[in-house]
Amino acid sequence: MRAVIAFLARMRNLVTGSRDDARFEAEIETHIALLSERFIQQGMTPKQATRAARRQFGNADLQHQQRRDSRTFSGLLALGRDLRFAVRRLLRNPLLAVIAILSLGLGIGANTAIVSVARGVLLDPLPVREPQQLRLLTWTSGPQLPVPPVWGDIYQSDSGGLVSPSFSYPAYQALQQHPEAYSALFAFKDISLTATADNNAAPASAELVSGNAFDALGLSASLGRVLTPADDTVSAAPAVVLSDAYWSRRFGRAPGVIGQTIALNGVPVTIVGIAPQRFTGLDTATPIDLFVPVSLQPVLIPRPQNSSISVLDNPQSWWLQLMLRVRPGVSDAQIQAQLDSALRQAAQPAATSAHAFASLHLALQPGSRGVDDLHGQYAESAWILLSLSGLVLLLACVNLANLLLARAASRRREIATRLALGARRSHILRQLLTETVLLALLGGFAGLGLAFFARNAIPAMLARSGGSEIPSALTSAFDLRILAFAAAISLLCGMLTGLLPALTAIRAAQGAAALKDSPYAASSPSLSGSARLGLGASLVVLQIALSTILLAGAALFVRTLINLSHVSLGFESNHILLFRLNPPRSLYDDAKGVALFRRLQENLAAIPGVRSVSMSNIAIIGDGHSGSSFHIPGTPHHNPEIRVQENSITDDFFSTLGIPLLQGRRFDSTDTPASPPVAVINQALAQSFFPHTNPIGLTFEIDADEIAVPVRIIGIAANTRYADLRAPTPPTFYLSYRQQNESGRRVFTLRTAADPATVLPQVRAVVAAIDPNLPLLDARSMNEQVRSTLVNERIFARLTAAFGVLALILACIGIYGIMAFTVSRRTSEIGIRMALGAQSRQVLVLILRQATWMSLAGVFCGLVATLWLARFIRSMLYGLTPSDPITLGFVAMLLIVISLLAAFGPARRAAHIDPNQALRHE
Amino acid sequence: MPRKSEEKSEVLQGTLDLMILKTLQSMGAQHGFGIARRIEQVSEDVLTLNEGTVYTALLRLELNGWISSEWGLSENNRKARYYAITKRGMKQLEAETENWQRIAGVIGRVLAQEGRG
Repeated sequence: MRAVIAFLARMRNLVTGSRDDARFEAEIETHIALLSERFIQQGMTPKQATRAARRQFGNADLQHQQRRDSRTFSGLLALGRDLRFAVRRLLRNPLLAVIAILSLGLGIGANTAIVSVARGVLLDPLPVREPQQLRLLTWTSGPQLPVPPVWGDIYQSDSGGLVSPSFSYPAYQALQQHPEAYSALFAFKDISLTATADNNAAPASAELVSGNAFDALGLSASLGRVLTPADDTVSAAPAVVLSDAYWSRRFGRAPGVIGQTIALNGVPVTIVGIAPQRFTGLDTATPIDLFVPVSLQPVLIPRPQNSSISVLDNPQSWWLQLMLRVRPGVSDAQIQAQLDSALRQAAQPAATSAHAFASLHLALQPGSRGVDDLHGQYAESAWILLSLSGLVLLLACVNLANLLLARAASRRREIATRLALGARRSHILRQLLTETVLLALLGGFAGLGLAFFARNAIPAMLARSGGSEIPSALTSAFDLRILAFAAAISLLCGMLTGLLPALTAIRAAQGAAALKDSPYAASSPSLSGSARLGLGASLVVLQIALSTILLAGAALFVRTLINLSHVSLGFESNHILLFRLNPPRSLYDDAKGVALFRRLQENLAAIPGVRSVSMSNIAIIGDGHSGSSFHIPGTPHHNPEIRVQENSITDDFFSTLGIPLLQGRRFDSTDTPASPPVAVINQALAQSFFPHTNPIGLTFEIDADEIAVPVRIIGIAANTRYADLRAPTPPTFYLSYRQQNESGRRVFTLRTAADPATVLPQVRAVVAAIDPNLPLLDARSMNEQVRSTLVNERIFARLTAAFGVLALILACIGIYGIMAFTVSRRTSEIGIRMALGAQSRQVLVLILRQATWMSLAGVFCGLVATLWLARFIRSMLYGLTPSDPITLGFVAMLLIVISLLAAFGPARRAAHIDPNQALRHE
Repeated sequence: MPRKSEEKSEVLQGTLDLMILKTLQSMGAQHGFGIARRIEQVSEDVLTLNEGTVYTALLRLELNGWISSEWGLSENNRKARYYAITKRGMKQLEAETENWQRIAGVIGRVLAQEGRG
């Protein structure tokens, strides 16, 4: 309260300063005049009286000065003085300054970099008008599918029901009939396309948007115009809006691009505008290159279904994502109630069964961050990295506090002198804090520089795809908020690290000065000295504990990476080249696609250095899943149905990859579209579904377009890893590509004689010779593909290892500092011991024993904390538990050995103390 | 009790504030000159008072909200600033007085100890 009143008074005086100055002068003049009048009355001459009055009043200028100091923030002037003094002090002890700035810089830099990334993952809303008004529409149901989702995601909710954001176009149209429920409703769907500009075909990500989407989001074009409802009609001229990034990448930001034509999946489309710079689509996980009207779907990406290539008029196709903007004052429950019946009515024709349909309902989800897959995908990683970098910063602060504490001892005399000369405690505190805050700010600068260079490294490392595409939300923007964050944590660090040592120093100095009226005079200097040592020791224990946590984390992640790198893949992964083709349906129907694939296979096999070529619909590792229903005839139907993994392959797939066949035969030319469908199953499927029988010759049923198709098993292949390295092999069956004869996405697998990279140019030439507009997607060696699935693990191993090494270095500095301090404090004691006959070795042991106790205590606390914290990272580990005794034991040993090494220098110095000198020491 | 002597004592650090508060409490609103005279009078010229320090003290007390001030006319029609003790100042005075008496008592007892000869 006192502080507040004084503060307000000073604030006022800051404004009214000069008027008050004049008044104060008048007050003093009056006083002196009155005094001299009194002296004249007592019989002095006026001259004598004035002089006597001035003498009795004292130094009027001093009064002025003190008054200004206390009345306003002219303390600011003193700040400049303090700063100059602080700089001089730091220059006198450059090693301390460098260590402090480096360690704080590393801590602050790591935090700033990770916060700037995590912000995109965890916090930033869509860059649109009032994003908090947006809602993502989903439907929910019981465990059975109420409608057939043909294209999109379905999630299992916690209660066992289903949730999906995919709607049919007719359902969207039905919801459009209720404009009273929302202020805008719009539709979108992310797709991938081949975009050809200047005879250069490349894959591009596109978002189909309804004509009103840009308007509803409150976005206007940075150049040209955005899409309008007029573009979103079947008869409209095809129009596309480019994203800012794509415009830069493909057209070098040329303004003349407006009005030009680019080919999307072979269809000429006119560029009408450029989207605002920060807007990269409604799904933050994929940065969008192109925005096209939904009405172009049948032209750009025809999807044959029910004898139509359009999914716009098909109530059976559930694929479109919807968002709405709420009206102010209308609650979500009201909107839900208004739209639910409309949805149910529109979904009725698509209902799979009356029972499943009964539980279908509309549900609103927050849409301020768009489609927020990123959050779920990276939130855990982001939180863990944030916590780890926070620990590093804490460690850096503790370290600095410890160093300052040790140094404070050497400044005791200086501070005592200044106190004796009349400096106020608050002034000295301010001076000491100025020094640490200066250090922290310099550290902050260093950290900011570090973070600036690391800002692209971390998102690139975080991107799971192995660097091919970095989600836009992960590319950390370096803006004012990040600068403010760095400044704030620097100041906080400076205050926190400075306060304790400064207070301790002042207290000790006051004790030493032994002022008569000081309440601290009672506590003897030696007592407060040992208390300070205790504080230093507990800081060291804290440091070692923090280092233990960080090192243990690092060790766990590094061992996870090692374990995963040694996972047996189940096939020969060297000398394999992979790439993917995605011939657009608009140009390749099934017949053309099959012909294309046949020619490619022949031409690729003819390249010198290519041993064999095979094709599959998904790659074996790092290419996601492809599920299928699975039922053994004669057994009861499960509900929900059993799903296993499926892959459609050419005859030489197994031989190309080197997957052994355990039983039966491979596909061969006798398997044709006319012959009964056959399958090769993997060992995992054989073991889970045919544990006691030989499955060769048996059949199972799969659903193809709602019809159960029987498939005969002809062989059993060995298990391979599927999709990623962590999961054990799921039950999988392989179908013959020759029996399918479909166009669409295909992965080519080439076994090469030498390094796969050497044949890649020829492979590109072969593809370009057949269709120059067909881009090769994700062309890389199998080993690169496998590594790409470990990107996250590698990041964690690297970052945490860096944190761990940093922690180790900081802990070493801390232990060395405190032991050196101890030895210098105990010099006379050691001198006496040695004079009384103690051996050097005994002194060495004496000092090392203290270090051992500190490190044992620190390691113990650290291990307890690690065991408690490690459950948060359990799911990220592979092949070991968080409490893995070998890992933790190794970390404990390492820390104890390192801390003893750090203590050895000071201990040796103690052991070589010359008793004669030591006794004269103080 | 202070000895009567030609030797004058310095004002002890921190005691000037207490004296001013007490003066204002017992005499009501006063200007700086009046306060200085009153202290001089009460101390029977034992204390040397650097009268300028009175103003520093007044300022300190005012910033803490223990006294308030306003401009008025002095007895001989000069413009003068009158200081008055506030409620918070009264409380502070009470606390400080108690504290002072305790310390004075302790010091008195310490000084009263008989030497061992």
